[in-house]
Amino acid sequence: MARAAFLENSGRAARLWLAILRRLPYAPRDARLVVEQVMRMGVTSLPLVIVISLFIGAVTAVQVHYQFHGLIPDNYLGTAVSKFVIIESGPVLTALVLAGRVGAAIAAEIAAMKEKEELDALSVLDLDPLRYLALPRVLAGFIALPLLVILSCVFALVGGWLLARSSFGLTTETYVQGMRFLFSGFDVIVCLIKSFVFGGVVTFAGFHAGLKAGPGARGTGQAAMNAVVSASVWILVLDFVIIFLMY
Amino acid sequence: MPPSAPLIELRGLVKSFGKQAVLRGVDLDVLRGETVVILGASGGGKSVILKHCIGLLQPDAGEVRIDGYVIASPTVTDYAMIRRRMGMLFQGAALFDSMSAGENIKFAVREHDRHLSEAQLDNMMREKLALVNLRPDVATKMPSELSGGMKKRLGLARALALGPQVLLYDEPTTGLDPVTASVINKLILEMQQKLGMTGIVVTHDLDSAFQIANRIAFLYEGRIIFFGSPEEIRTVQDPRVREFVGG
Ligand SMILES: Nc1ncnc2c1ncn2[C@@H]1O[C@H](COP(=O)(O)OP(=O)(O)OP(=O)(O)O)[C@@H](O)[C@H]1O
Ligand SMILES: [Mg+2]
Repeated sequence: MARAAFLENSGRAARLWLAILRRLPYAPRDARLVVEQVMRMGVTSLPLVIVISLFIGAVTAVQVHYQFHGLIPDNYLGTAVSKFVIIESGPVLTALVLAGRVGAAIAAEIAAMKEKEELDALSVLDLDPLRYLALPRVLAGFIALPLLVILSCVFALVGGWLLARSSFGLTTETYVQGMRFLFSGFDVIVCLIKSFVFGGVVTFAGFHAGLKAGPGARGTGQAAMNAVVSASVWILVLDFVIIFLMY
Repeated sequence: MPPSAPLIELRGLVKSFGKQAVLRGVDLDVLRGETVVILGASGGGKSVILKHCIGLLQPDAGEVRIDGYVIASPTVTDYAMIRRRMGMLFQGAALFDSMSAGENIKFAVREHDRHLSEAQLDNMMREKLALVNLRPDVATKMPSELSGGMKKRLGLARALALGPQVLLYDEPTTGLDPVTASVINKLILEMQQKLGMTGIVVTHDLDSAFQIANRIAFLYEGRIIFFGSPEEIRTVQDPRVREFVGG
């Protein structure tokens, strides 16, 4: 039973993905709508992403120091923090935060529009809801998340540096040297690929959940929850897949 | 086509949601230029009938014809050609909450004709506002700032924007005070008399029905069990109708 439901749901999701991607040719004409969504998601998420990233960097530095102190020279603290932040925690944690913030918000918004017949009203005016609602949101996810992740990585590295300097007495020079050591452009590319994919996953999960929301306030709440759950699961699964394929 | 041929024909319309049979064979003819009111109990499927007429729902059996042309049947969905000929006023007005009142009217027109200038769009918008007795300064308000009656009138103005020949009204007076309700009734009459609009009105407001209807259809357990003039329905003997109409 559960498996049949899962397969049916995945089939529907795949069809919706195709339907949205088929509307890509409209993107240049509707660029204004995309920019609006990027602003909404990106700018409003900035403070949260920055605060969280500072702590991620700091926590990573603490853990590296605690686990490897005495085993490897502290010079490599910057190396470990930057590797971990760029490859894993930057993209994954930012995406998870956005799943809770943006994915849930999109789901609730679309569910409310469905409940209030705004989606029907669009169709009746011969306006395609997928073009005007889904496409700008999903594209904005593809654009906004990589930007946020770059920012997140920068602030995580800053967080690690602040902590290493204040608690472990590392000089800025040692930390930066460590960061540079083993730094590879390939890691950054993997980081951006992940962010791009996660950006689509988060916004799509929000739209999909909103579209199939049940009636009433309960349906809206359920839709928001579904969006967060399915986005989170997909982020972690795809994280694994991408790492597996790329390394 | 002779002027007496029906503009809208519903033939044996059947629709179920899951196990719940809502429409069990609905037949209805609407002549060009007339206003037909569909009366029936709450939850009886009145909104479902309207949604079939404008292509938001597809029947399980039967068909909808506009001008003799099949636009909806279990195998056909050819709404594109009729959508712009029909407008719909939704039960809850279904205004686009994120847009100003003026933008609600202009949006679809601008999207369908990108060559129109903003000045032309503003003119069109003011003209539609005047048609529904709304002052021009309403244009800058957001839908959440409007009263229930104003929302319905704005919903009607938006439905008029694409210049339809047929208007579908879903409970236009429900939830309004008697004075506002009679303003809306007058508007519906004006649409018919000034613009030659064909109308289908769904309601359980008897006063409204008697004021605006050329003919009244009575929906009972998924079928139209009475279809005739307002005078006829007052004298009909069928107890199922008498109970609703009273007297
Ligand atoms: N999209 C849908 N999915 C499932 N059930 C639906 C759907 N649309 C309508 N129904 C069901 O069909 C029945 C008829 O609904 P409809 O909205 O047409 O009633 P109505 O006559 O317009 O009532 P009201 O006067 O309260 O608006 C209801 O029981 C409703 O739950
Ligand atoms: Mg209804």
